Amino acid sequence: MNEMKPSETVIGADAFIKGEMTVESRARILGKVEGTIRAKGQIEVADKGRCVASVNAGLIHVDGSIEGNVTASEKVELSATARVKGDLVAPKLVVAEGASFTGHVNVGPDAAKTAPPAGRQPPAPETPPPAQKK
Amino acid sequence: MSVPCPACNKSVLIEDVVVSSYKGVLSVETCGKLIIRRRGRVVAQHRVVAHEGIEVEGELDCRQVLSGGLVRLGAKAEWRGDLRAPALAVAAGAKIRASHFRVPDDPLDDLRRLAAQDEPAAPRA
Repeated sequence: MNEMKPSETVIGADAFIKGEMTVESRARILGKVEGTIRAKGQIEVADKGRCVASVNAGLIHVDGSIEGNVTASEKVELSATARVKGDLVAPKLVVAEGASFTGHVNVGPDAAKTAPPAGRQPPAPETPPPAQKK
Repeated sequence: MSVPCPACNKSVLIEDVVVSSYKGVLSVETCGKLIIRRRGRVVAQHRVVAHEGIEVEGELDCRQVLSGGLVRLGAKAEWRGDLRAPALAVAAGAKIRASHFRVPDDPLDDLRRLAAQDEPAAPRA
C-alpha cells in the first residue's frame, strides 16, 4: 500500500473534482480533476490519474494524463506512461522515452521568468473600458 | 554516402549526419540519424528530416523537424523548431525555445504520401 507523506493531499482513484484546487504543499492525483490545479510544492498525477485542467506548481510529475496547460516553477517530469496535451512552460523538463506530448514547449531558465509563480493565480487580463455611447 | 533516388534521380543521403561544429544549411535530410555533438550547431532554414532519429548535445535551430526515430535531447542541448517524432527523451537541463511538439507521430508517413502523389503514374499496357 502507498504510504501517505505528511501534509500530502491525495485525490483518490474514485474521486472526481470539478473546479479550482489549491494545495499549499503537495498533492497526488489518482482520480479525475477538471478545472485548475495550483500548488506551491509538488503535483503528482498517478498512472490512472486524469486532469482536464491547467496545472501550475513547483514540481509536476506526470504518470497519467493531463489535458491543459502545464506550468512549473522548478521542473516537469513526464514518465513513459505520461500523456500531455497542452502548452508546457518550465525551467527544467525531463521526458522519458514513451511519453506522449502535443503542444507548445518553452523550457529553460528564461521560460520560467515569464511563468506566474506556482500556487498563485495569474493576473486577470485587463478588460478594455466599455465604449461610451454618444 | 549518398545514392540516387530511383524515382527522381535526386541524391539521397543514407548515412548518419554527425555535426561537431557550426552548420548553416537550407535543409538536412538523411535516411540515417542526425547527431549533433556538444559543440555542434545546426541552423537549417527549411527543415530537418532524419529517418533513424536525432541526438542533440549541441544546438538545433530549424523551423520544422521530422524524425522517423527517437529524438534524444541531452542536458546541454538547445532546441528551437517544431518537432514531429515517434518518441522523445529529454534530459534535465535541455533548453527548448517556443516550439510545437507532436509526439508520438509518424511524420514520414506524410512524406511517403507526398512522394507517391509526385510519382508519375505507371504506363498502362
